[in-house]
Amino acid sequence: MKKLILKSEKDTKKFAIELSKKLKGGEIIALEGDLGVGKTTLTQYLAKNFGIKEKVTSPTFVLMKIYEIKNLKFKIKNLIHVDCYRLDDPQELFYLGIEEYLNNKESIVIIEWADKIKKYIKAFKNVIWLKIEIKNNLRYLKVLK
Amino acid sequence: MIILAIETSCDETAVALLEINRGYFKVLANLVASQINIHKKYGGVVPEVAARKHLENMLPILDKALKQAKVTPKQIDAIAVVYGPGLITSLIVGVEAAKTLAMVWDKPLIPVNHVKAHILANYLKGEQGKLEDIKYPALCLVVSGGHTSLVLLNDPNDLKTIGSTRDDAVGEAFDKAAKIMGLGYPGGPIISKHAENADKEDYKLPRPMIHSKDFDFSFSGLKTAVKYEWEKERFKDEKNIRKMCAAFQQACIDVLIAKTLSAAKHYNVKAILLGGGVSANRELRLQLAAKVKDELPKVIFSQPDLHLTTDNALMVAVAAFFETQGGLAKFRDNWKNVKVDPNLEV
Ligand SMILES: Nc1ncnc2c1ncn2[C@@H]1O[C@H](COP(=O)(O)OP(=O)(O)OP(=O)(O)O)[C@@H](O)[C@H]1O
Ligand SMILES: [Mg+2]
Repeated sequence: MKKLILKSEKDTKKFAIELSKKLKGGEIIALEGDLGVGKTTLTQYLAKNFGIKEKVTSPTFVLMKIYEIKNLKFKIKNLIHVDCYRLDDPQELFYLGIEEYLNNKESIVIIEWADKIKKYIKAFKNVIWLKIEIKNNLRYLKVLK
Repeated sequence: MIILAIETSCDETAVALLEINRGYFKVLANLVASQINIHKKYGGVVPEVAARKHLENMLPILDKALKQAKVTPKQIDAIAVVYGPGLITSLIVGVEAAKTLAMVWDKPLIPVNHVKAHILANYLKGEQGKLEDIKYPALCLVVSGGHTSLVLLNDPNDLKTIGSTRDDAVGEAFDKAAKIMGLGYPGGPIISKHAENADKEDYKLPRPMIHSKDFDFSFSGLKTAVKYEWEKERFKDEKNIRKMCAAFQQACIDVLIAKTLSAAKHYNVKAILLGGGVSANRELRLQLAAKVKDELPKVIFSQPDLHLTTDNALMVAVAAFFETQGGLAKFRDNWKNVKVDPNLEV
């Protein structure tokens, strides 16, 4: 388990660069943390590292957004941005068609509010679990496998 | 012509029949079956439940609309349906229903963009009368749970997004701020109710991106600021809830208005329109109207009728009407082509 302090968005950016270098495709990045801890912000920096030019906005309302990675230097072709904030039942993700992207070497799936469907996610192998907490105006990031 | 329109992009199953002839319109039926009470429990939409409810509602509401309008299928000239953006599972129900009707009744099928429909709702004031005379170029501030953008229109079919939110939509920020204060769902009406006559100066909240040179928005920082302030607050009583609601609402409104005005000046528009679910917010309406009058007295300000701010099918019908300006021919047999597009943009 790794622990980091994200003093500002700069640190989030640095962490995102490190993390994107390690991604091979097929991973689920599970993001846990309360409202406003910076889950979408981290996703935005990850997306940037894969050359995604579109605005990566909060998926809370639409539940899932799919971004195509167009730069051919990456083997990963899609970044799937999911938000469970409004979900109670992981089953709901199937209705949205998430299945084809899970365990798929060509996709990275990033899930905000992953703790809401913890059991479901834990069943997968390739999970990078990130927990962000704010204490005294500082953001603490834990990398749990 | 008579248009039958269907909208199921999110929470509401909506069907409308609109008659338009030579610039005059008449609402024949405008029905909405809302699922808001079902989703309240979850604090949001549940895709599978939403789709199932749309399916349950569709036939009864279609039937009721046709009866109310006293229209037989034969009299309908075209069918219109929202094909995006929205929740894929919900969109499918409306689109499949529309395609089926278009095939069975042999009608032209007009696919409509949900955001465009919100904007063009401004053409319909009242139950019947002349279509509004909107001057172009026009600028529309589109605000809802899923959208916050500024759209420039050169005519009803020539739309361009010139700015939009980089993170949370303003309606989403209202929902989340309400949640932080433990106020329930949906946040928009709850917060504006609490904000009435409350002191909005007590809590100091930021105005994100208000001075940026572009026409983009950001509301995620505001959400976080509300959270910090609220956690610091020792007395989370009704009085302070009302003050926080007022402060939050005003911060949103300040940014929305500043950006709208600066875009209107930059593009030298003749009209400013408001559209989308959050445009039901009374303070936003009043303050934007006053500001336009004050700073751009020659510019006409238009806001949709209140019942057309939230999702409905009437706005879809009027948007479809403008789509058919070039004739109906290209929409014949279109049921074979129309597909949902959840990420559709303007
Ligand atoms: N490392 C950081 N340091 C300081 N501020 C940050 C950091 N990361 C994010 N923020 C700020 O926190 C705010 C909220 O961020 P964001 O919307 O990404 O949170 P979230 O976890 O996705 O929230 P939600 O639960 O609503 O989805 C933004 O204003 C963002 O700029
Ligand atoms: Mg988020």
